[in-house]
Amino acid sequence: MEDKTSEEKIRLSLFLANWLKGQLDIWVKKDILNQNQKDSITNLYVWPKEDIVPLPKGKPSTNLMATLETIGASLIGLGVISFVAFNWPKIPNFTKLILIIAMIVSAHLTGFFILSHRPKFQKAGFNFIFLGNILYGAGIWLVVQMYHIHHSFPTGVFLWALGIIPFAYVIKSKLNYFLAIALFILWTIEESIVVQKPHLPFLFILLGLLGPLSYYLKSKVGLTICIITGGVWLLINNIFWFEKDISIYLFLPLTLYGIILLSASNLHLFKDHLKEYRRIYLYTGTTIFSMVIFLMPFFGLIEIDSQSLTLGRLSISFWICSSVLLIGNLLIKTLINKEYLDRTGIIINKLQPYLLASALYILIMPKTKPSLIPTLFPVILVSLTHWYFSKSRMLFNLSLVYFVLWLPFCLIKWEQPLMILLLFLIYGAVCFVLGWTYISKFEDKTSGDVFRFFGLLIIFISLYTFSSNYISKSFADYYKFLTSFDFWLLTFFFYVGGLFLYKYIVGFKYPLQKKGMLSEERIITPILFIIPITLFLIFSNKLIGFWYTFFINLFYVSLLITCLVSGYRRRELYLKLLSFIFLLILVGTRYFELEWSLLYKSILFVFAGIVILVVGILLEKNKDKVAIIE
Amino acid sequence: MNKKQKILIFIAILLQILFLFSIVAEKEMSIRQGVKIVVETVPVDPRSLFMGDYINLNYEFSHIDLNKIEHGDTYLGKGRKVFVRLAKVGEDWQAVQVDLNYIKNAAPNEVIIKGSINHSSSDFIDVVYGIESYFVPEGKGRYIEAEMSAKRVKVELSIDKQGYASVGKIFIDEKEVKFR
Repeated sequence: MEDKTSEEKIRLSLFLANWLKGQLDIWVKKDILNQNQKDSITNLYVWPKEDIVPLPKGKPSTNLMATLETIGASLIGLGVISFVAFNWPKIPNFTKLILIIAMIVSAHLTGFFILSHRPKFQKAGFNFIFLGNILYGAGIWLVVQMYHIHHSFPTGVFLWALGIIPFAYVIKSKLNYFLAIALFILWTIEESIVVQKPHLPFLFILLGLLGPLSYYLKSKVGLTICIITGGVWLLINNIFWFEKDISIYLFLPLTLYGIILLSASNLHLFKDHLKEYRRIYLYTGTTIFSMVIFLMPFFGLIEIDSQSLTLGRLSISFWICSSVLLIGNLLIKTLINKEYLDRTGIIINKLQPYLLASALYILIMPKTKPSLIPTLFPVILVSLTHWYFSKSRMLFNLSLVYFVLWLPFCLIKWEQPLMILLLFLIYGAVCFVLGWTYISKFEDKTSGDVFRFFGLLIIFISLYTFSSNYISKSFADYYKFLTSFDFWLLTFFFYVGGLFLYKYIVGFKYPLQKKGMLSEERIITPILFIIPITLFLIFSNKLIGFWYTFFINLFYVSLLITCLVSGYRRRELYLKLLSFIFLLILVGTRYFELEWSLLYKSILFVFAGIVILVVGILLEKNKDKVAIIE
Repeated sequence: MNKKQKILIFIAILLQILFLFSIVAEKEMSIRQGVKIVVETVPVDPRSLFMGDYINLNYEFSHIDLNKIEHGDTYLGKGRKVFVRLAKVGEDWQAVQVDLNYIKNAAPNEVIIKGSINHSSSDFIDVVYGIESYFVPEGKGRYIEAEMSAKRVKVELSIDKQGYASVGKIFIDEKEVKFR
């Protein structure tokens, strides 16, 4: 049989690769195929680089241990920062400074010792250096406090970030690199707020230091953060160019940035060692572009100052930035050698003129207020052209989720956010079940994941709003029974639809099916449908108080931890990230609401941090003995 | 870990300590060598995430009426660094000149202070000098805020030759405030 070239081979997803590999082994075992036939079939496909063989049972997830150690180190660091902020006058400032320096050096040296002499505890080594870097920040804020330097001191944040970079570089620690990125972002935000002007130095840091370092550390997450930060920087600076006027023109540079990322993804096909980063540009470009064109219709609903809608109000900086991005797009298109492009690359290349057209449409978009329909045009254009060129249902599915999200806004007035959020909760649950239906019935994991992801995103955002005591009280105060027939009809359809889909997944159990639902997922699915009804009863009876806040937060935390654990068990990055981010946001918000003295908070954090860090290290020590989650 | 990496790690640790002490040294030099002036202020009590409670100090020379001072024809836009000449008039220190360059002809009862423009209009500018925060132990800011309603609050500033200012002591009705 003739060997196919890699361009002609079909690329397999991890899911399909797992399935096919298992099946081929069975067919060989049953003498349906011989080894040569198996090899010939294997040679027909491009197999994913990831380890397609599941981890043997009993092998621990080192990621889970590293995460525990990182949480522990972060809590200890937060505790020390809280102690500095407490500003205890009984300890002289210079004593505090000496203590902090001693702690910084000890943490770094411990990490350094572990990395040099205890390779088994490598993650703990990185985390001790991470702790040292947080303590270094605490030292800076102590000095700022001692000398009463201005409370907004961006130089302090800059020095903090800069002091971490050498560690990230020398020990090749992604964790410390992420901390540095976060601090550089904080720095540019502070600088922009203080000066109230675009902050250009950050662009040089991003392009000259953080971007190249992510390639050096082979950190795809770091590169993703850098690219997204570039987009956010562009948006913030655009706002300054508009002198804080909200205008729909803000979207133009951001849309062009999304398209340039998609084009840049094709450039990564020319060199073999760059190919692994290609997907990052593809996904971030798609996300940024989609977010912008999906957000645009919201501007069609709100009243905008008519002055800010005239082209004459746009600054030279805006035009320069947009022109550079547009020329960059056209330049990349001419640079691309079509011979190197794979199927996705060809689709992007064909789509590019339509994407640019939908971006430039912003300049001529009819702006009669409120104007929902004209703002939907780019979504429709891009969905149709993408479907035409790729024959993929991916964007179509995304648009479907999106268009249904508009329904509550059309049915319910803005003054009734409680009902909109309840409807979103039900809709999120339906999306989640729909995702599982795609996986169980159609074996279409990509579409299934899109629905599951957006379902959980909608649920997490809605529940976050309900978890706030203040917001819930105001919802209860303004609650009025909704008499809209459309609303109740839609709710009815959502519930009936959810139950109808549920029958497809009820028997879809892990480990009976390899990708079946885990036990915790089987438990939370019906609960997701019960929660909106429970909340409706609570709000209609105005039962908002301490126990409501306690139980809703307990449920929310349990849901997030369940999703986090299931993300680890499935090794699904998006599930882990989504749950982790919302868990951080929730814990952070409740921390600021907690009216405890900083001293008590500090003691609690340090104590909890030490316990978690020790548990993480013990798990790392016994990693060959621990039974795990797989 | 190879020898080169070990050396680099030690350099990185030293760099962090150096950064910390550079802020300490800069401030110590500024305080020790600077001219000390005492100015009146109006405090407000907020909280910072990293540094805890502080009182926000507002000075008379932070809000400058451009019609009443020398400022030449230079454009005093938002974000620009400026030098402000302060003159002692009675017990108070008042802004008498603003310039983008260092002002050299200061009289003995005058000081030059460096700041950046936070807000500007055709008649007024708001200048930030980096001396607008006074950090206090948790909860003590409210005490000062309560005291200030009936009493005068003053702050001792130290201004060095380059115009950088640092906050020293704080006084309520001429008595230095000390926290225990």
